[in-house]
Amino acid sequence: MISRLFRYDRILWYIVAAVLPLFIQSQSLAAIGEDTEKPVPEFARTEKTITAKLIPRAKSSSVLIDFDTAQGNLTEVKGIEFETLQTPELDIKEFKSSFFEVMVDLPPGTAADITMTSSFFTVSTEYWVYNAKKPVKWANSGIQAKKGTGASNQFVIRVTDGGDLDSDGTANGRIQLIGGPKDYFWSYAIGTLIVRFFGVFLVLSVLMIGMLSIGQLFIIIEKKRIRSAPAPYRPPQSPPVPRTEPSKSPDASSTPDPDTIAAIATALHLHLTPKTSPDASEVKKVGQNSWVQYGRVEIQNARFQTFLRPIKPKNRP
Amino acid sequence: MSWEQLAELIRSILFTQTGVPNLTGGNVLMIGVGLLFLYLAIAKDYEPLLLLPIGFGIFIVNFPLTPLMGYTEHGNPDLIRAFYKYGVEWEIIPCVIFLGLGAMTDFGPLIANPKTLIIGAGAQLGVFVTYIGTLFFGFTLKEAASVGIIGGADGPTTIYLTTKLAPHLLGANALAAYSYMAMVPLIQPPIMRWMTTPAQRRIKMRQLRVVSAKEKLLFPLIASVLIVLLIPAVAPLMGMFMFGNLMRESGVVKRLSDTAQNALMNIVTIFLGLSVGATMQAEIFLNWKPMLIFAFGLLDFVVCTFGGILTVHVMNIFLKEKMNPLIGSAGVSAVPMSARVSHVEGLKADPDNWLIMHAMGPNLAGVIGSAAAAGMFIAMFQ
Repeated sequence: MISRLFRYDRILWYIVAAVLPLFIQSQSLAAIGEDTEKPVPEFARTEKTITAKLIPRAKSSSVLIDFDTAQGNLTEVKGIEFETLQTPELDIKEFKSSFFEVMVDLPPGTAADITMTSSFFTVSTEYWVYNAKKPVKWANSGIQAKKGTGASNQFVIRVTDGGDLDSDGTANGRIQLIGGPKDYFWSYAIGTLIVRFFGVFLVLSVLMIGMLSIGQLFIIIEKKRIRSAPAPYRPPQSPPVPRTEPSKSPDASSTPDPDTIAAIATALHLHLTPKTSPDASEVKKVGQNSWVQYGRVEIQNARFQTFLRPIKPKNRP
Repeated sequence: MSWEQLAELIRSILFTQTGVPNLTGGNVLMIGVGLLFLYLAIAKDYEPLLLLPIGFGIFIVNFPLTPLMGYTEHGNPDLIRAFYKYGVEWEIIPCVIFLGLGAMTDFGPLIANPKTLIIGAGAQLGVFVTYIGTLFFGFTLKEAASVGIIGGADGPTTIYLTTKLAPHLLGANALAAYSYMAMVPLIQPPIMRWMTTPAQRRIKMRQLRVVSAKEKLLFPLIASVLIVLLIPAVAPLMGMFMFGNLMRESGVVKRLSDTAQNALMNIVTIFLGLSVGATMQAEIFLNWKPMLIFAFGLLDFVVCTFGGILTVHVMNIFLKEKMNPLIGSAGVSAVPMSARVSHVEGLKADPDNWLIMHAMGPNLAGVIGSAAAAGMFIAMFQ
């Protein structure tokens, strides 16, 4: 009974049945998306520049973002968690580094160029700004990232005290710029997916080409080795030995001594027998040669003499 | 001591020093899950080398108040936490397993027919499709990548990547990977029959050429150079894999090769299984994500099989000597189970068609392909 419950096909159906409701009711999945990759920026000041160090979402290594201003005094930069300023139209996955609050002190009503530089920004990164006093709180600053030094890209945002981009909305001698870099999630996810899938093909294709080339090289070397190897030894063709029926009792005067006969027979046997694993039929054919048969008889007789010799006492002098 | 004091003492012992009053429904459920996997491993022989220690890990860690996966007051890890911390968290065990796998692997069929490497790449289709699919369901990019790699059908690669990107999903991912690897003979044949005609299944492939010992010896070096140059992120896995193979093919360190294949591999398998199982504590594991991971794991295997067979069909358009598309399914890795499935399906179509050695090529290519895909993902998040 239990074993029937756990048949391969049934287990699969159990899994499908358990998970199917989730596919049908995808709203239930909203509960899944807890923020497991919350960036926690740390700030350090070097003269006029404040540098944020953080591990953004979808990254395993930390990145640096430099904040600077040409006018006024950059007083503070703070990190703001995504949830605190979230609006329904914002997707957490698109703001990988969360938000920053940049504060610059300057004469009231004047403007400052706030610069943000990082290798984390790409040319397609946008910088979105927040203003709580506007009907649409979040908006694209409309400023394109420019190529900075090395691999970094740079946003230069002109903010006027009390202007649109100043989050406090008043000309009070302090600019408060709240915002964050935005990268479109799906274009990145699908783009990188395609690139990386073909990357796997590329890597294995390069390996294949390498292996094919080396395989060909080995085949050529092997062929050359076979060609240059000395040809196997082939004995010169000797005139055929006249086939004569061996006499059952050879005349002692016309035949050589038994040792010579046995040696010749053995030599002939070895010459005519294939070197490696002859099959039974071939042995039989070779064995039909009269000389060989005679030689074998002689060898056997010699062995018999050993067996038939008189037994001597063990303790002989 | 008064009766009241005695009752207080007993109550205190019961609630703070025994597990019974602290046992939750979640614990009971997870103990049941552990027993289920033990049953599957012992009675059904589903990947018992991994599922048995994983099942026992789930079983033992879900008893309340057990000092197994926590830390002592002095900050020292408990027993299984120590296995996990130094073996899995430090990413040592998956690489050591790759060393053993390398020492066990004969790359002859792949070297004899390098074209099958492309099948290994095509069979990673499911990895990337699942990656996108899971994103729709609210997974983060890192989680999606770690779930996607399940379709690579390579346990150590799955564990390695998950540990790096989404360690909180380690238990579910490893369990899904090993469970579906055991179910390859069930998952793949219907897809293989659906995607091939009887005539295609009867295609006979030319016997593979003999590969010399020198070629086999050079392979790990050449493969290391090319793969590590192109994807440095995969060097720990591929480096150990090729080192194991070099030990085997060199023939001069038989003792080391033997240790890597047997004793070392067995030891780390015990620690790996227990550690992975022990990550599945009720309070961490019981949510919707593991269920989704199991669903996407299945989809992953299906699409990877599809991708492998499709790749052979596409290659056959350009090849003079056609390949039997059944070997495409072996590109999902799961060595050697999926190669055997290809062989058995081939025999069903033609009892004289022996595909096992031809299927081993894409099978080994699948191992390299899944490691390459893992390397791509690691590089993506650097």
